[in-house]
Amino acid sequence: MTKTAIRLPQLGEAVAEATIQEWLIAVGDSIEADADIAEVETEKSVLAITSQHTGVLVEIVKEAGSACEVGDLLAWLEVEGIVEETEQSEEIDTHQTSDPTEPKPMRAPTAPALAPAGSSAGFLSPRVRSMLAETGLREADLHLVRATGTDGRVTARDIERLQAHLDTYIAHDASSLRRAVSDSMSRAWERPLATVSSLVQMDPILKHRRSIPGRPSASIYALRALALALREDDRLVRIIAGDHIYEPKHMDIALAVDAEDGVLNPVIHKVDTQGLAELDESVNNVIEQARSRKLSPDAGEGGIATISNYGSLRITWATPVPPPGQSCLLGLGSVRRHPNWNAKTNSWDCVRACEITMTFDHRIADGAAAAHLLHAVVKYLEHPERLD
Amino acid sequence: MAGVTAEQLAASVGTTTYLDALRQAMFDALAQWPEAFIYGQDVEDPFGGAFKATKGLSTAYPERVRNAPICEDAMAGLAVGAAIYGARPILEFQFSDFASIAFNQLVNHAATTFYRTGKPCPLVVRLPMGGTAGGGPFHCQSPEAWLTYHPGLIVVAPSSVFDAYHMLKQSIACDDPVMFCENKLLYFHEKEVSEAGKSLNESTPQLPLGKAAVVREGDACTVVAYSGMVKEVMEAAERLSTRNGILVEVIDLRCLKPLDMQTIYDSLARTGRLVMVNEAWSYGGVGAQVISQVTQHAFHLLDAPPRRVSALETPIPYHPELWRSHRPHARRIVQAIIETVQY
Repeated sequence: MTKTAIRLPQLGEAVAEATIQEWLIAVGDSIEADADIAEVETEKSVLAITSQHTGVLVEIVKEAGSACEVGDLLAWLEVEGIVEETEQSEEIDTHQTSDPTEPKPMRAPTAPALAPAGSSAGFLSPRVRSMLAETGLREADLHLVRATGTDGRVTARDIERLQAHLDTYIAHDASSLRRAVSDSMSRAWERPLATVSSLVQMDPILKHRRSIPGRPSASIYALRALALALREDDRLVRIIAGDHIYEPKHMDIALAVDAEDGVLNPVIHKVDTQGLAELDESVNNVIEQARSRKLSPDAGEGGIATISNYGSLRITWATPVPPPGQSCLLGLGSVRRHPNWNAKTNSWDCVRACEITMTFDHRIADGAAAAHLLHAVVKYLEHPERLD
Repeated sequence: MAGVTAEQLAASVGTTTYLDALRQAMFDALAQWPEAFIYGQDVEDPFGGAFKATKGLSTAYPERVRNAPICEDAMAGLAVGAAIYGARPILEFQFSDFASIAFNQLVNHAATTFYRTGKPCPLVVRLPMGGTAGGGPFHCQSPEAWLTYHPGLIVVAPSSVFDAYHMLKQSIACDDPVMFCENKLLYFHEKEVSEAGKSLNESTPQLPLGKAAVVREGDACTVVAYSGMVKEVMEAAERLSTRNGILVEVIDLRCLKPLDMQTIYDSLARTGRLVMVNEAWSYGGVGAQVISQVTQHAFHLLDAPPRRVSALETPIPYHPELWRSHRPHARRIVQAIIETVQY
């Protein structure tokens, strides 16, 4: 009689963990090979796991309710004869390779589809790292080359090919701001982003701003509208990390500012507590600092969302990317004249309006939540007296 | 002079085997150094040694080629004593496996004499090692690893006819004790056709004793081997080049202690990948030493984990078929290289 391990098998390509819902037999019960032994719950479904051997359940390691990962030891089964994985030989993988004298790192035989600890995906070899240091290339630049190593690993040869490709161009030094933006955009693009859009009538704002000292721009109105809308519903600016959702404590919103060779996103703190005139002054200050490169290094830290007024570049519609660490970006298109059906006079009026777009991290919120927030913003913008 | 004449020995023009080269080197050494002598079991004519490496030498130099008792301990003890007194003993063990019997004399005495007394101990121990079909556990081992362990011993392992000749002469000239590892399969299977009219003793050595040699150039992977495995690796390299278009660089270590790591680092700078092949077992072996040096001093050059190909972890099987799969062979080497190149 030998003891053999029952492990959590690979249940589907994307399933890495599961919770034991119920053990179908008790310790001391016998079981036939291929019979169901336990039920586990994954993110999407409840599945049965089967015993690979005929034997007696002698010990349950993961009780019902326990969370476990693919490959985890769930229980011990006592079986007749010798089986592949026993208690004694648990750490030795018997797969033959070119040098059978070298023991391989442990890998659960029930989980062949799981990337083993030694998987080289994303791994940069010492040589590749030193080549990056030598050439001044960065990890983010590796997307430029087709990786030919195991599991998509970038090899030293790949770097040589990349360098050869770059040598066919004319090289200039990139500014530090451009390099920072490039890095930040690469990281930002690792998320699934989606965009919703709506038309906003701008006549009310264009009229209202005349009554405010400094005549604040549309960006100021948008900042305040977004802050107030988020105070009522902050679903789009939460962050999901690990097993938690994080809700922001303050309505700190960044404003994208064009600077030489890049974009800066200085943060305006507690936007919801500042009136339009006060906001106008705060924003003018940071824009001035940003353009003269005098922003403090942490000025771009801590924002929960960003406003981008791409309309000032005479663009009607765009999907700017929220910076890494933020889940939401509100974009303002250029103001144009639009026909608007007037039900009272039964005719078309000419109104000034712009498209606004909201690009958001789709992991944290769904389209309906984005639509809800965007409508709230539109409502504020079309009734600017509510922003006073 | 019965059997082989001095002229025949000295002018071995034509096809020369690894064994011929060793015999030639000893013949020339006896002529060059009056203090050199050969001591081993049945080395005198007419038997001329277990592998006939000394055939004809006792006829040419009757006083300086002497039969020994079947006791490697006593043989090594006598040689250490003679070396301390200024002789250049050339010991022949019939099989390197039995060097274990002389272990104390080699590692405690020969290795430490100069350190303890300031007196050189210029002895050479010829160790026929490596497997032959049917040889089994006591006649096929490759014990170089435990000799390299001891400071004071130089361990060399030539793989070619040219090196067999010159490295044996260089070992005899060396004032430190040299463990001269010979390969039994190479004795008859490694041959060289010398240039017309030119014999080995008219050639000049290309490298000093402690240098490794790049014996085949390539850019895909560095393959390090020594002794009998160089032949297997060259076969694997040829197969990879013609069938897979993979060009590997082959390094023949030649000297196992001290190790010429610089030649390996230089090659790794070109290839970034390393496969280490030895006929011995892997545990604590020469390959382990090479790879530990590489990971410590040339980590930045590695683009793939270094890999080893060694004998399987059991005593050496008697059955010829089992033996053939037990030792590293070209097919296993090819597979290891492909896996390393594809990493």
